[in-house]
Amino acid sequence: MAIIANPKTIDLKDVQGMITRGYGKLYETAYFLLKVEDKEKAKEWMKAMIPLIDSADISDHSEKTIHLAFTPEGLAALGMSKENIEGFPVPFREGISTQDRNRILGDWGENDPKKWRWGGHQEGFHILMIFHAKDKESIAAFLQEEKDRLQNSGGCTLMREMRGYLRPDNKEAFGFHDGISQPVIKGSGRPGPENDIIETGEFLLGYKNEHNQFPFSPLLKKEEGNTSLLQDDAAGSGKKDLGHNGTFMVFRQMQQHVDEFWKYMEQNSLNPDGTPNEEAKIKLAAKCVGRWPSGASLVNFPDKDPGGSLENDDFGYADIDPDGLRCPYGSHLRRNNPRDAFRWYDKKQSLKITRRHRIIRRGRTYELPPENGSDKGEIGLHFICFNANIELQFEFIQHAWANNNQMRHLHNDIDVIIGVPDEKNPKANHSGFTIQAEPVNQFIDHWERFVTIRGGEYFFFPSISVINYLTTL
Amino acid sequence: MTKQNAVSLQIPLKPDKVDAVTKLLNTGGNPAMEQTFFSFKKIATVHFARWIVVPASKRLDPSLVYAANIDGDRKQHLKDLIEHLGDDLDQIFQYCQGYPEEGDADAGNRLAFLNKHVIPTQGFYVGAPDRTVVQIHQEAELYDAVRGFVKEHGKDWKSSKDAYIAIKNFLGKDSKWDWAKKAFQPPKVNILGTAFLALLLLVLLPLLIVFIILIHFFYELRAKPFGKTQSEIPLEHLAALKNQEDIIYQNQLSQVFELKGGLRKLGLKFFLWATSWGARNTFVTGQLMGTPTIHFARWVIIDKGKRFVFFSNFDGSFDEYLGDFVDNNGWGLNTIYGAAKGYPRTFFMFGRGSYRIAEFMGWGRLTQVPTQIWYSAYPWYGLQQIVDRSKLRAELFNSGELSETQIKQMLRRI
Repeated sequence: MAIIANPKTIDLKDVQGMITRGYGKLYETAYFLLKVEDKEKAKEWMKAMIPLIDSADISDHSEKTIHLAFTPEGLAALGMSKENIEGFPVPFREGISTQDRNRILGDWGENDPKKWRWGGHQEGFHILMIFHAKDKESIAAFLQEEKDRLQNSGGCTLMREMRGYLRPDNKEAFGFHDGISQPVIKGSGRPGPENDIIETGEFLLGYKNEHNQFPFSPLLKKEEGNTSLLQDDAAGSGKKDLGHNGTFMVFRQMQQHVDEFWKYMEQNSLNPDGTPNEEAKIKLAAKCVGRWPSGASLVNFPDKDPGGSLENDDFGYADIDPDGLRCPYGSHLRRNNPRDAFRWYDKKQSLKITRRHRIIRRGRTYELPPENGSDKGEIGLHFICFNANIELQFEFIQHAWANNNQMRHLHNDIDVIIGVPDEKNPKANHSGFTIQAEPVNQFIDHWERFVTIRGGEYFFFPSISVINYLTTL
Repeated sequence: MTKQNAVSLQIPLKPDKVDAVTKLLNTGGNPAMEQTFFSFKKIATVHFARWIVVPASKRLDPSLVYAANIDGDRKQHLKDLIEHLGDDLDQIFQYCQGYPEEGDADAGNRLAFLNKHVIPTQGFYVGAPDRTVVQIHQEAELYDAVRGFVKEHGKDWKSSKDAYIAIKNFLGKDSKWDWAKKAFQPPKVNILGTAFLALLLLVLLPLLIVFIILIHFFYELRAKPFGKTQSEIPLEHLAALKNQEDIIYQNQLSQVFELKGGLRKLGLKFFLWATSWGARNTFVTGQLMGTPTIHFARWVIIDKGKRFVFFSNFDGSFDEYLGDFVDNNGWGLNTIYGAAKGYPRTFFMFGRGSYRIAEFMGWGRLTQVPTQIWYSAYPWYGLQQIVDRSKLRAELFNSGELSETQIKQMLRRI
């Protein structure tokens, strides 16, 4: 796949940096959930934060950054009127946990939001503050500074603090190189593989998307605040656009049951004499994930992990692996981004459709010390993604692809990593995984779930000028 | 071979009984998993069925619409309803106009009443034609057995031929699968029928062009689209619909549209006829113009031509379903739904409209009504899986010896 130029057309100085950047050298992360206590003081505090927010522009490359995201309650707490909040898309207004969304996302049983640590309407929090810094020392100092500042300003209280990190080898907790395949935003100035350069409006409001339409964006209905800070609606309604250069963020805390994952892989790849087979174990796990631990694609390296660390993303399925013999249809990667081989469609139609359902992922690992008498701590992923339309991107991928037990010729397989069966399905406890093979497919059944959702919420991730605007309400 | 048919009824309601009948029907459930009221499970020939309350409009009384997708013919189905669900029918009919008062109702009365309210189904699509409910369940059982056998013995086979022989032997030994020996082949595209439709459209092309131009000047330029996305619809309306969704593998969609008049109505009738023709002759292998998730769909003109309804039974969510259509043939949607008031403005009949996807989905939600009772005979089966399992059965039992390539293709689908 050819790497092609992608001329800059977006005002990147106005876009919060995390949308275009993974901060691969800023290994430490923290998240503060804040509650606005005093509106005016909170706005003063926000004003002081703005210079610390890294923009997406390449000239901005500080060694510590802040990003801000908001819940609907947060916008209200800062003084936004009900009319204007009602201009936001339904999923954001309703939040991540409603009855129908719980079914779509698979948030039932162990994933039930009632059991979550945070989010899903359990506690009223208003602002999510995201920190990135180089190492443990610098983040500790950074957080202390900002805690002091919060304390001194008296505008917000810190409801919850979470920490995360990026491993230098980019591996997530199961041991697989993560974050490789990312869409490139058209107009961001970053060159990329042709099939990965996606219309701006899939990730930023105020631009056309892959349907050649402007995504639904919150327009100002009631005049309030300093509206000269806002852009006009690009779709031409004549109204001011609160969404312009902003987007929506999905945050889910995913506990990963690493020991159980590898134990299950081992038990299902034993030698005929019943002894463990290390190579077969890794191969089975790689088939489930759709990549080798190194990041190498199964399409390019069907038999063995070439090792090392590979950002191997230069592949499609249609030409080399139409039947899933290398990378199974049901693998985590192939399900959630079928690339040029969706259903039986030709490459062009497949790409047209898959490009309409991409997300930018910014997940990082977290660890928690043992609790409740357990001798083992918790490890998992703070899954974060950006998308302009939560329903057609994040929710679509989770429901139509990860949780869909009947994709292609599969009869009861869900995504081994993040899939959840339908609660009422009588076969919910018997989910399978099919490895397409010659002469016949291999089946491994009765999968356990290796990921448990422990928290999450939907956020508005505004442009820097809109953050500025919020301080004028 | 048993054909699947559509039964559609429209029964006027007593205007003051809408709430009462809605409450009664709601006890039937959507999806109707464990039915206490109107248990369709008692009738083995029903694939999918629903009851909906069509709300009153300015000049039209409220009514009930019943839609069933069945094996065999309508007459038998109406008799089955009376035999198995007669008392439940009586409970519903007490709220309807023109039904004999209590005590006077007997089987004859009920049948006459049902017959009186039968209405024609103008557009009808079957995702897996020629398969009965019983057959669909049997083929699922067969697939499970084959998969189990492959799982257990797959390691022993060196070639696809080995696998094929072993599977055939395994099934041949068991009289349990005798039903599968009965001749069956999934339908194939009827080339003559398809060519006829193509030719007809070609012959009608000059007329169609004039039609499109007239539509443009007399309808499109005067259209009054709702112009709302899903996020601009009252949350309670959305919640009432979403509370009935994504519970089983399939979903239902019930939409009620105000029908535009004149040429648009004429166009609708023609395009529905063409869709039905295409459904019978062309789209018989499990997809309707590229959309592979529809079990049964129908379009029915109601209220003596003032409104029409669309009912669908499909896999996946509302967003996925509507998105699928837009991805594959948004222009097809435009030809049909352009006849519905409030539809996103089309451009020379085929253009725009549904391609404005956010507005299209908003229109979809605004025209959608709750489905009070919705039944599926196989709530956990995807349409493509039903199709795959029929193919497998036909390949193993009704196809003689398969070639090497055919065997490979068959094994890939297990």
